[in-house]
Amino acid sequence: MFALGVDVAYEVIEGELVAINLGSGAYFSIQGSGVDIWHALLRGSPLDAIISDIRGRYPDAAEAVEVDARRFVERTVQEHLLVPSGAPVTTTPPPTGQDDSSHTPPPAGYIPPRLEKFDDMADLFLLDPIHDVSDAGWPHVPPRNR
Amino acid sequence: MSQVARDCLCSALAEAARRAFSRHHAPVVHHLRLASDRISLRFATESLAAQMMAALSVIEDRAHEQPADVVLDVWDTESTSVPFPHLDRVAARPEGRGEVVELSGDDVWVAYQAASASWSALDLRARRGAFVTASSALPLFEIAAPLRTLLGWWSTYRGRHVVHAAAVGTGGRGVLLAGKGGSGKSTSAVTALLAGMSFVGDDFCLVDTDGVRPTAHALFASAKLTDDARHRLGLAPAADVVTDGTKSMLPLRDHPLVVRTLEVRALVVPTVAGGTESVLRPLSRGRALIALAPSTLGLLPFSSEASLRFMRCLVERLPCYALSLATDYDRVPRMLMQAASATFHRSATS
Repeated sequence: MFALGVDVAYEVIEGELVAINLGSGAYFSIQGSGVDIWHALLRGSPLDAIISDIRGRYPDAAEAVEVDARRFVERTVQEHLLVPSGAPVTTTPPPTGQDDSSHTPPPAGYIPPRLEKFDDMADLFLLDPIHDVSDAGWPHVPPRNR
Repeated sequence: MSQVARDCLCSALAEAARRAFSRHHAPVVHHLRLASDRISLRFATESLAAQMMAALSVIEDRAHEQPADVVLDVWDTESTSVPFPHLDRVAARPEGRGEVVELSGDDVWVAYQAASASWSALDLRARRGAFVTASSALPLFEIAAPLRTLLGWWSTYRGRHVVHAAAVGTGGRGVLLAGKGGSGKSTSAVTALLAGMSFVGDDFCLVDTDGVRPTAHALFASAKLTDDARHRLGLAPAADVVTDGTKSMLPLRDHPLVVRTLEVRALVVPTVAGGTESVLRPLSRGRALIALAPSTLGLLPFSSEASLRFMRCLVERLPCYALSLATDYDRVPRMLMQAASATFHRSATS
């Protein structure tokens, strides 16, 4: 089972999942079958069952589904978006906007899970006052000229 | 944070403010009107008031007839010799976005901004806050967007959100321009202003979604431009203006085209593309949210999933466009107004 990573917030909009790690500043876009996999994992579905379900819908892509799904989940864990969890499965539905699969029709063909990472905002999130302190140490700053 | 610790901090802040104000004759008081909220600012010095009220002038409430919803005390340690209290309780450098977790709780937020050595603290229950900075001379970003953290926190508490976006328009309706620093937001917004469009902000604005359409509210009567942008827009070089070495401030106090509100009709994501012809084309809402949310969340400590949800709801209500910026700046204002036009939206997405 999997749980949402610490400091991770996400929303789904028009079938694209946007996730932000509020601790590191990295943000991500998840598209394709990755959105379905994400939601199913957070609902407590085992990965094998998720893979089986997707394969059933797209039998022509059966081999790719297995490889893609496992690689995708590995990546979400590496990026601390999802964490393996032993917690009981929750049956509470996600808030509106976090799972819009109910009104997004499934695509006609298999779309591999896609995870894009952006870390250009990291400097807004990570404070490093080591470079901004005087000899007196944090939180004292050196004199600034205007 | 325990109740005792919370009350202790709030008392210490009130006492520190009292001592800061006692250094000079009396606090310099100004009043703001932000959407429907009344905010009182008490400055320890005329100098701090002058530096900050230039940009805050757009929301200044000179009529001021009602009691304030929240009172913010502002002082600098250099002039008053009064530091932010309870520094001994902050064991380590702040985490993430400057959030001082040792001093924060459910209804008390404290953050530290290293670049200006300033503290922001807001007690939501007491409706009191404080901004304490080290130096009497503020850096550019504190003059161009003063008290942004405190105003952002208060607004979030009130169900509105400060977003990292510019807003311009005409006839009371316009567009939000979203994107990280360097994407062309400020340059596009100032280009629009110079062409006679109404201006709500170049970097931050307050958005509420209570009405039939989202509304952008002004926060700061200022814009920040690089020397290159000033040159490209035909503006005089920055002399005797506030600068941080890379950008200078374009003061817009009492500018006739700076307005308090605009109805938001579209979201535009500019990018500097080069070439000779700017292009406006539809953009997926997912990409628009990606342009708006990360920098908005990164620039406001303690902003969280609620803010992200707000932005998702906002983006869902708007047609979204990508604006690839080229050297034809004179076309940008017209393209922004096209984006705000329902007719353009129908033809662009058909």
